[in-house]
Amino acid sequence: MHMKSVYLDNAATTQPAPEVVAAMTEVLETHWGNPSSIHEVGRWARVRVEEARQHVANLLSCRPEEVVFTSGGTEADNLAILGILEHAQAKKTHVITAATEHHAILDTVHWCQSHGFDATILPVASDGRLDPSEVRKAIRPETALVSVMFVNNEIGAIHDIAEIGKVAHEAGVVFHTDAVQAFGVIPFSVADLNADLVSMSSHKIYGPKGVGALYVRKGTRLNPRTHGGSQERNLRTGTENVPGIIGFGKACQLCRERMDSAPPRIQALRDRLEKEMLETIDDVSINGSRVHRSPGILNCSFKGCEGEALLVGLDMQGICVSTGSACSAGSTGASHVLRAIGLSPEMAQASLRFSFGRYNQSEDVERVMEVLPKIVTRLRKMSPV
Amino acid sequence: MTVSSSQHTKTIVAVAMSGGVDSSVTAALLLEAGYDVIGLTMHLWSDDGTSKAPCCSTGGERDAAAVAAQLDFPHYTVDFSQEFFTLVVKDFVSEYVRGHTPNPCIRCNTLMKWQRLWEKAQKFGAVYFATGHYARVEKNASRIHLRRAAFRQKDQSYALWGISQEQLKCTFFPLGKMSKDAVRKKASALGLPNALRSESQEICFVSNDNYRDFLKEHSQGVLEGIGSGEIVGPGGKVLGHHAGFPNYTVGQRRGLGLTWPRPLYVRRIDAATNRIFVDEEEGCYGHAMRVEQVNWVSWENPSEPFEAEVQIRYRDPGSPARIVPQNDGALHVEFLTPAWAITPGQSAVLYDGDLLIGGGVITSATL
Repeated sequence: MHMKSVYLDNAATTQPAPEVVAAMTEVLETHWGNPSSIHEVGRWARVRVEEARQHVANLLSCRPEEVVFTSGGTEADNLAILGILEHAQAKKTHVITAATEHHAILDTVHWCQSHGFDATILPVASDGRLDPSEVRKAIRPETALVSVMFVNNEIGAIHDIAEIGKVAHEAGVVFHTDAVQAFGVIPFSVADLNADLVSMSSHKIYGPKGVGALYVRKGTRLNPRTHGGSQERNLRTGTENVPGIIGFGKACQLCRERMDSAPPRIQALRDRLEKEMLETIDDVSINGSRVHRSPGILNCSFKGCEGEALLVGLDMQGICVSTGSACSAGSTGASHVLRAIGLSPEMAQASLRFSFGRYNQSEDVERVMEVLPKIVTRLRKMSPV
Repeated sequence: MTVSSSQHTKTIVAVAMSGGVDSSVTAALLLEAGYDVIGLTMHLWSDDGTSKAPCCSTGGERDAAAVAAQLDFPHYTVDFSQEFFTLVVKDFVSEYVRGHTPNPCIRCNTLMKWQRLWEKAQKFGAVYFATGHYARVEKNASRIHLRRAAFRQKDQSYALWGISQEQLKCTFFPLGKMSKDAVRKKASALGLPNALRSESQEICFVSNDNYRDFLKEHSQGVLEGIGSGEIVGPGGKVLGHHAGFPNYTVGQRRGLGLTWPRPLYVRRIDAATNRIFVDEEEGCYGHAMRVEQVNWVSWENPSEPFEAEVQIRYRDPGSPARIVPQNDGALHVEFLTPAWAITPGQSAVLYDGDLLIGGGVITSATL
């Protein structure tokens, strides 16, 4: 297998930073103890884990004891929703979320609906954003939790989290936000969010896969999903993924160092590709808000083309992107996010997502523009439309 | 990461890959011949993974992906499960409900592989389509010919009668002149993981060949409503009862539960009255049949009657017959030597030596 030339799927995952790999290798070779052990080997590992926790806390601007390590963003989402609902038990049985959430949230909510809980799944506007007043209207006396993602993974839309959190708190409802696509990507501190629970993922920010965290504001009560041991203040037991955690911590440290310079540079690349595409290719539309949008994500639809065929055409030229159309096994039908913002099934099936990251350069934009217009032309010739 | 220089013009062949040794060696041979290969596996059915059926189960997807990674070409899985259910599975069930015995693999070749998958392959940039079938294509000036495989005992042309001229024009069958043994040797030489694995001939969506349970589950109660019926012997006498006609196929000997001096076989199934007609061997030969859904392959649409060899099931050596094209596009086939166990629902394929003239689906037989 050879390395691809142009990687533009950073919203799916990112390449681990060299410093991350070095830090993890060091841990695997040297500080490999069980952090819960009392002896010296264990203490070394414990110290490294707590260092990493501090790095996560620094990037979030929270207390280290508010950081609970998990196996990733999906587990953090599950822990937040199921943990809060189980803790609330018969008293509060209603959860509110949005139609454009990641499946880690929506599938968990659907599970709750078939297990005695009630859910309200709010629609979004055509720019992908949720109106906070919709949340206010949906809150009931038995609402246990509001969960709204910070940055949408498909279209990059940024919700007005601070306001939504405020609405939730005014009604005395716990607020969770899945910040997997925001943490380490755009600058914020947890105080800005009015959130009690925040999900984070390592592999979206040049850290390893298999590790993430849930921010649990001091005083927030939830039930754990795992039992056995007392790690992570009993909220997520099991021997810690030490190399993963160290890698995650290092990734957070690197993001914090670059938080002033990286987002504008990445945004400039994304904006350039968007501009050149709109100028060169007919019948391209941009999906989601162009104002409240993550710096690296570009989601667009190419009328008369199948997104999957575009993706394969680009893949065969060494360019990696993602699509909201899905004929690959494992998913059926068009993206729920694109349908939720009002796209027709045809336009949803005609979409691509480009997501820029730290290792992208301007040559990547040029390479895409060398190749993409020809693929679009070829596919449109084949289309009966 | 470096930016690659501009690519040479690729001639892309899409190989339909089941994960089995035949389609894997097909891909390897095309790579050796200098083509750019992309592997495509159709995701047609989700079972729990217990099925050992060859094509398009999730195990096959994995195997195909592993071969593609080893030989270093792109591989994609394409989800056609909805169309497959509508076009192949539902037809499978409805044929049994009519008292026919369907061949879903042939329908899948015609409607899924050479139509939908080939269309998808073209969208992906392929200009040719290849499968691991043992058959041969000859591209002539006026007409594309489809021939049996060079090694008759492996010939799979019978399953390919539904392919159009336009589709055949772009089709390769790299294994057409090879023996199965040579293919396995090639796979071993390449170190392919599936070289020695046995390939089952089961229907891919029926696990463990248990089609009766499958029919029960997917006929939406229709087949469950079919209770026991009469088994009628030679001369019209009721010899016993059966558990429901979908459990039987023409020519079947086992499972009748009857006492008779000589072996009895299913001669005819009457779905309307839920009756199975049985007879001794001589009574199960048919003289004529009607064939519909006709597709002309190597010959252009003939209007006059002609003689040809007719194969009425996959492992049938074939019988000489006179073919009379009808006004409605169907065929009336008169066997010159009677044919054993003509089974409605099965495919009838016409040959001129090893040249595949055309084919269709048997709808009724005259015994």
